[in-house]
Amino acid sequence: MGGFQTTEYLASCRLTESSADSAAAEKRKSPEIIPVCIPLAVCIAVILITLFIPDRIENDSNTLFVGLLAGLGISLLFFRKKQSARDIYTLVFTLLGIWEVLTAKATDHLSYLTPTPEMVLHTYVSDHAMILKGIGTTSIFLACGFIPGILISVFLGILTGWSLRARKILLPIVKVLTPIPPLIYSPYLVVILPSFFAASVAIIFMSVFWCLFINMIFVVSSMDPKLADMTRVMNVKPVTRFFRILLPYALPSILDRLPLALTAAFMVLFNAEMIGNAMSGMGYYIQFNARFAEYTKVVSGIILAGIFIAIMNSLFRRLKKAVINWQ
Amino acid sequence: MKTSILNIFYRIIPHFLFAAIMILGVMQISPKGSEQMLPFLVFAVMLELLLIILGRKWEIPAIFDIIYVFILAWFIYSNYLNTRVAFLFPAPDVVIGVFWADILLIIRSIFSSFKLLMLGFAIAIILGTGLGLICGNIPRVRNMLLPIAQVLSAIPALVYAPYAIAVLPSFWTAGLFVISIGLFWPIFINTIKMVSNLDKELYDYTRTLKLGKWDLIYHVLLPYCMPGLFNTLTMQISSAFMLLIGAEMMGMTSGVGWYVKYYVDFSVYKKVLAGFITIGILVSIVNAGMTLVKRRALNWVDSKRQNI
Amino acid sequence: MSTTIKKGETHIDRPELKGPVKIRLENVSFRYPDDISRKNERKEAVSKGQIEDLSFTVREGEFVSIIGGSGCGKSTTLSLLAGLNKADSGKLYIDDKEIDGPGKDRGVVFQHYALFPWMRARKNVEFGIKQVQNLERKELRARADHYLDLVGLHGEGSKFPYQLSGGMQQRVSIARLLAMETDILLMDEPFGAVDAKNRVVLQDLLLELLESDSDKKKTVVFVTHDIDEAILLSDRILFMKGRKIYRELTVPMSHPRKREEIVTSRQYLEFRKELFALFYDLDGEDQYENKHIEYFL
Repeated sequence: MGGFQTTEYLASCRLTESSADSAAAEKRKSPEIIPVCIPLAVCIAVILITLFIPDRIENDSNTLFVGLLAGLGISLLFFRKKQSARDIYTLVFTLLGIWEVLTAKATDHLSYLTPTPEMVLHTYVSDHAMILKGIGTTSIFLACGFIPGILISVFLGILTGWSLRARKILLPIVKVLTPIPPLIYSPYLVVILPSFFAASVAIIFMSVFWCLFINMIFVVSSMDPKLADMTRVMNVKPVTRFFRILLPYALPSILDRLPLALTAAFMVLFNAEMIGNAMSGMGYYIQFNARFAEYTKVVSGIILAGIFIAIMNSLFRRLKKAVINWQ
Repeated sequence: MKTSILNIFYRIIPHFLFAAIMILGVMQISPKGSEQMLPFLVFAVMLELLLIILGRKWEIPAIFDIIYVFILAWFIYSNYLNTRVAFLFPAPDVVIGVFWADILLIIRSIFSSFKLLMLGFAIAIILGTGLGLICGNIPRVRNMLLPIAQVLSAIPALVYAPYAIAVLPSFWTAGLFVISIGLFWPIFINTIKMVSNLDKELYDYTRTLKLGKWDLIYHVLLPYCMPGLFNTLTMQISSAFMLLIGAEMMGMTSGVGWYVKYYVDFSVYKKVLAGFITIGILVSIVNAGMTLVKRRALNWVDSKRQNI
Repeated sequence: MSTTIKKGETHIDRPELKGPVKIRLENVSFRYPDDISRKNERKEAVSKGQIEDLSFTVREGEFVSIIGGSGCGKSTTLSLLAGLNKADSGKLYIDDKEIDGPGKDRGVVFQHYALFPWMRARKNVEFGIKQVQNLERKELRARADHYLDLVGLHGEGSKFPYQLSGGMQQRVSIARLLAMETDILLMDEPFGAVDAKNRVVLQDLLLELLESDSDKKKTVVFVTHDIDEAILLSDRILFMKGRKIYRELTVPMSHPRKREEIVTSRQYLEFRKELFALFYDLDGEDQYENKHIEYFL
């Protein structure tokens, strides 16, 4: 990185971006072929490498992996108009290719720590019963703790945030209690509560509660004073005020906060499944296999958890778009 | 507030509660022995002193009401009402006694956790801010990485732990990795967003000055990102503790999380409860430190706009 | 007396004014790239801030205001002069050298002050100076304090921008501009965000500062939409409309000026009326719609 000036560099970046955009705009009428070709070329290259360079280790069948690559390649065609999407696809294909080459093509000995993509994909087929059951269990646990956690924390948080006194009294206590990870209670709760289900739900509830409660207090207390005065002037009834003003006002930040709450809930559930006597679940699947040094399954479990959370988060985003039409 | 009878009553209640705790505590001396009860009584007196020192603000008596009622209820339940196995619900005096006996180990655990947490913070801040500054400046890289980062940041870093433990040389490095990566993504995302939202006029002004690369980063971009960084850190503090405790429970041999896990395995629940309180203390230390640093580093931000 | 020219006639140079030509624009055109995010909603191109075939010159020591309605391209012209944008076609010269990006020979003031919020007022000024000149710490500080005193901010140097009012922040930004001691000052609606009372004070301050400048070397290009402001401050007014300069008017008053004397003079009132008529197009096609404006004149 030599002596160029960053300011000009930045400027040139902005300029190139905008000129690229306008160039893209002019090209829109005619189908753009070259930009789509790059990720597609990478995709095809990875497929060819997988198919025609022989594996140097004992590997599972590569049908699934090639199928996945081809599927991704086809799905690319739907997003081909966005430059960022094309870049992301290029990156993903490149990473998959590197993974494939490093674990299967360029090495002689199979390390149990670094499974090939074929092996990871294969576990989804061979273990599908356990995985599906795990997803089901985890979803039920999450739903049972998550929904009451949201409802109660939002209700109490809005009430506390609205009243200056309640806020002043509770905030110092809440500020200490909030960051104490509910994780730490999990071993204790597993012991004192009658069942593992009850303990997990209680821990998830707590993590969601603490995640949202303090946030609600802050959101409601930092409400635009003009708006607050307006409701006071209009003599709105408390119930109406709660449902018609405070709740809609807090709704965007609730929905923004949900992904964080989900991450926290997933974290404690995962930890609880590790400690308690869980029988199934996504965390349990990872932990169970880690205990037997089945790291292929651990990796596939981690990827699965990632996909699960990504899907949940995109659902939350959809929900936000559908619910909040006034922003 | 007016000085009415109600007000005086409001001020006096916590002192009555304190008196009740002291009376109950002293009554327990004969069955339990004085060395068992003494730490608890000292602790209660310390709380009371704190109340007297801080008592001028009007919300303080109410806060102490809550604390005292909680202690009182706990004390009465565990000493008089609990009919189940006693070791599962240890009395407050027993838990306070643990601090008396285990103080060295507890302090060592706090230090160990603190060190791990600070290291994790440091790594995440340096990497997250550094890479964020670079990626935020290049629109194409930003548009490519931001969606990926958003997906990855949502994955609870704890799920990496079993694999990290297997791949990395020690439990400690695995723990550090988990904490750093968990904190890295939010900081990275925030920095990228801050950099790409740099105020238009400020950006134009820096361009008219023809600032060099390092001047731009050091004098403009870095300070510009500071408030966002501190906001992210405050928001991530609970998740950082979650990762810390989770990592420590997974097989480390020191730290507060280990302390709790260790005594859970031996079913010494009085020490487990003491561990909870220790974490509360650690949390308060970190929070106070954060507020202090923030107040010094962000003295240029209007305090009205600086919530939390 | 004012010189008015016919529509479409754009290239103006009046050698009888003053010293050598400082800034020269030759057939400059510029158009912002389309906003890609907006394109999906609206098909038509965004024509805001476009300029076309723009030519004018500014002589050394001259104060030139560019006025016009919103989106007429006056701010764009300034950003081209500052080097923040590159002209699509045409050439811009300063001292007969073509403008190639931002330069340290030009100081810029923005509407919203563009102060670094994390630097104290003095540090903001010092930071500006440091970019053009290497000075000892003591000198740096002395110079910063000198210019802060000049704009009436004695003793406020150690405050952060958020602790200052809008008017005071703009003073700091003017102090920073003057402290850099550049020959060319570019001001983009500098008083647009300041409250009415402070605007008057700041206009007087700027007038006083420029008139007391001993060698009269500072060349100012000033963008505003406030007609009175333009008349009070400038030697020449370029009125922009529809992407180009529509009229050029020389302000018929000599320096030093005093607001109280000027605003009551006949010359001023006539000149103002003429400008208003231009601004609201009273003799143009929109005559009917703008009838009511005549009441204010």
